[in-house]
Amino acid sequence: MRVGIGLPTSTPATDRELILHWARRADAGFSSLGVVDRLLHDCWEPLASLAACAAVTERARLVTMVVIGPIRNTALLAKQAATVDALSGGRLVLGLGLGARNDDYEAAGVDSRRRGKDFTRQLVELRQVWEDGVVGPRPAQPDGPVLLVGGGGSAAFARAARHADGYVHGGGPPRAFASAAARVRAAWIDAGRPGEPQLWGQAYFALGAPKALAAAAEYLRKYYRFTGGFEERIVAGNLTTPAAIKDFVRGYEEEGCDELVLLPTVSRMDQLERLADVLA
Amino acid sequence: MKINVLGAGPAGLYFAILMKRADPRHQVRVFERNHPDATFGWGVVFSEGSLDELEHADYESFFSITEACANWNPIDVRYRGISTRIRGNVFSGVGRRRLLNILQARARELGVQMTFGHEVESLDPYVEADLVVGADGANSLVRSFAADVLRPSIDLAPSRYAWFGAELAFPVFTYIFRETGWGLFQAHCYPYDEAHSTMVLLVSGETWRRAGLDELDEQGSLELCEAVFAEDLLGRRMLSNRSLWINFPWVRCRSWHTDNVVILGDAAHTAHWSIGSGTKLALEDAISLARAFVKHRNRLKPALAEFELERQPVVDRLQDASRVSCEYFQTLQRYFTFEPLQFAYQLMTRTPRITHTKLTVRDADFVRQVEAHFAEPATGRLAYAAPPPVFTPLRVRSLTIPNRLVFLDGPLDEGAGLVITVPYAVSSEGRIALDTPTVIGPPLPQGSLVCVQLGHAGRRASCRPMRFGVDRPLPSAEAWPAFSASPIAHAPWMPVPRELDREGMDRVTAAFVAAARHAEEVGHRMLLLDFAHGGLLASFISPVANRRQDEFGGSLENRMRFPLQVLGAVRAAWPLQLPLAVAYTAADHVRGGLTLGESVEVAAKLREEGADLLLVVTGQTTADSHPEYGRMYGVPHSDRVRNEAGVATIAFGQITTLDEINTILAAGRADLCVLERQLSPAKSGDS
Repeated sequence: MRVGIGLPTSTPATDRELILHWARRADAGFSSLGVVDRLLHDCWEPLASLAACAAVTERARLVTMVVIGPIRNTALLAKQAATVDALSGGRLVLGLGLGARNDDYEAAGVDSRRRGKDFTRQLVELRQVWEDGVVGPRPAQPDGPVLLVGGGGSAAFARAARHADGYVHGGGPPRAFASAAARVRAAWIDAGRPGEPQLWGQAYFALGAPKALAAAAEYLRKYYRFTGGFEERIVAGNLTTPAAIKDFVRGYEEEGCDELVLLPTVSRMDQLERLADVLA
Repeated sequence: MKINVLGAGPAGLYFAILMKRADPRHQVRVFERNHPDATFGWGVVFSEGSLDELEHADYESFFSITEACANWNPIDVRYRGISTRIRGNVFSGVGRRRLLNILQARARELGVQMTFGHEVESLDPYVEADLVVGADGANSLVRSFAADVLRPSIDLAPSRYAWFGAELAFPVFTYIFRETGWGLFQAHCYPYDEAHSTMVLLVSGETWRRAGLDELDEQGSLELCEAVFAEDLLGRRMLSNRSLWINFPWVRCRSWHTDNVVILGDAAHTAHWSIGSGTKLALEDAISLARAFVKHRNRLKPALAEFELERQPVVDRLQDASRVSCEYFQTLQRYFTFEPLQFAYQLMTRTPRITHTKLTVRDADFVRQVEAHFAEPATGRLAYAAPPPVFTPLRVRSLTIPNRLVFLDGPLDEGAGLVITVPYAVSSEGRIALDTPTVIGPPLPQGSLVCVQLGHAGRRASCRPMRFGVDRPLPSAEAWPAFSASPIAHAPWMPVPRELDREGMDRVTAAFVAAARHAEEVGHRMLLLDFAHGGLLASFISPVANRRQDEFGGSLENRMRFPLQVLGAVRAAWPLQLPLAVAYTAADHVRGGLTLGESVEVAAKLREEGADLLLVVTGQTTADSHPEYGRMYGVPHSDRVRNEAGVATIAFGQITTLDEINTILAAGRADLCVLERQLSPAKSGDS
């Protein structure tokens, strides 16, 4: 299993310097750099952020986990993705999902009632744009960026199996990942796809002094307030000790995860260094 | 903390005890509508593992409860006048009143204030406390007061059940099935002390009405049931106490707490009584919640979050299992052709939690007998012992499939009895993509028996390679015309197919026949025709894809006409002694799709036309129709089709272990199983 790290694009008080320094430093020690997406929150736009990372990194894969697909125009999204793929020399992994908030759709002026159907069609059309080359540019990866689908239910598993290269899990203990992964594999076989789906996982972490951990909890609470009570569970699931991180990584590896991306919850460079030490 | 507990059932009392035990300074008050000695529902049973958790939570009450419990491990299944015993199960039962009295005494001893005969009319008088606990049962008022946050959903099972007592102690947990002129009566009986048993009776809605139970008063219903179970009661009386016939309410909630209100036990989630875990769940809820308060030093937010985090997966799993169990008891008449041994095995393995291996641990001799009987038709003799079901050969026509394990698309050298190939298109227009094979090669001289799959992609034809996804139409310059029952596209982004005309039907039938003949010529001995997966023949069967006005559309008989024509023609061309299987869609999973009744009819028609085996799949009728994935998701469909249409089946859908396969086979849910081989966990090194 490979381990990647998230880019602090949604944590409070992040800035240009931190992002670029973080990306450069991550390039040496982590297999991928991940970004999250939310419209109504002051987090940075994921593909624009990855474009910047592409310029200062050489080897880490650049992964969105996940970009909210249906609020974006498909042709434009395909073009952006192809551009980031070209800029990075073929390192883009495009994770897409429905997102969890209706107000993101409202703000984007997109009807959320059709979002499931729109999303499925978008997945098919993205590949079509990359393959047919009418929009351009051609992505650097000959088959186009790796396409992952996120989400929790059977509709998401079916979408991942039928129209993508794999699945990106939304977070939770190894057991939750295992259960979703088994369903994705079943959906993949059901669809008659050759080969196997790629399976990606993610989790939040924070390391260091109690003050940092409190800030992390505060950030998660705020970021997930819209869930109406679920935010406490996300806070409880944050990995805040070296032992918890090691157990978690081992657990995901056991369950057949291909790549696990650990997302920071504090905008400080020491978070990356501490995580690198734990994983060393 | 000031804590108000509403409801003095097991959950409420136990939580009060544990909180008071954790910190005597807590001020805990319990309010209950009923009298302390009132009880409804005779005995409670703990059938899910042991009560170890109680031992750690509170020694004193644990000892009193275990002393009061009746313990037994066998189960008797009385069916067709024969009683089959399965040993090694762990059960204990205790009178509900006895249990409550023990908990009341313990609570009193610890200084919990209890008020009985107290009606709750609103939450207002209670919410000034730090915490309000709704432990007020399946009809919880607390839940309804806080419904906007808890978001409960309640739906009712179609069957009717009622709790009775009986003035005799059944020797062990006993299931009784009695057929009457009104329909089937089931009794689930367990002793709760030396002289009394609980009898939970279950009937279908129709039986309930036919028997007149909807009109009878409590005494009348009691007498009727005594007459039905007279033989089992050995002349003793049944007892009633508010024994009303009700539909079981499924309660689920999005959340179990608001800022300072939390619900426990049946108030938060019900689990069907047929797996006997309602009380255990309630007590474990109380333990989990009390522990969360200790861990988080009585801070509400994290404690309540932790409680839900810990309990929800456990409760979900048990609710799912209990749902399967309830479904089983509502539909078990489909198994009435089974011999008593297999019937009992089926009952024991009704939820996925009890597998062949687990049952072997419980009662090895029972499983040995089941295995011996399972192998009898294949070997022609009833041996003392036989290999597990998966290694039992299956004879179909004159072909013997050496074992029950099926792989899709290989490998041929890893022990599967049967390997089903990828679909071969019977004609170039029926190809899914350019790389879909059409030329059937000869089978390899050794390895698994190969079953050649023949299909026509219909409106899903003319796509790009599946390596990057399905249903991706070729650019129009490279595309070829697709045909379907009606000109309706498989997905909005796919081209509209042409309606297949009579000439086209003849062409397709001839192509299937030619492919079958060719397969025989090169030496194949088994065929699978693909009438599923949204292909051409599936499009005729599903009302969603078939809108024809001619004799091939409309009624099920009409929609089946062309598929049966193809099947009949292939059957006539394929050697009589060789088996023919059909892949068929048992559920469309889309609005307006095949009904359950129709899907059984389709299966029966396919069997009559000469299909020896059905590969049962679901979904893919349209681009977005899919099953609910999960462990063994396809098996209930195989089970239904096999036992209602009387046809041999190949089960498919997230079957991943041999243990699952043995269980499915021995329980008569399928005749062969497609195994999805597990990849080794550490599959990817550094790359």
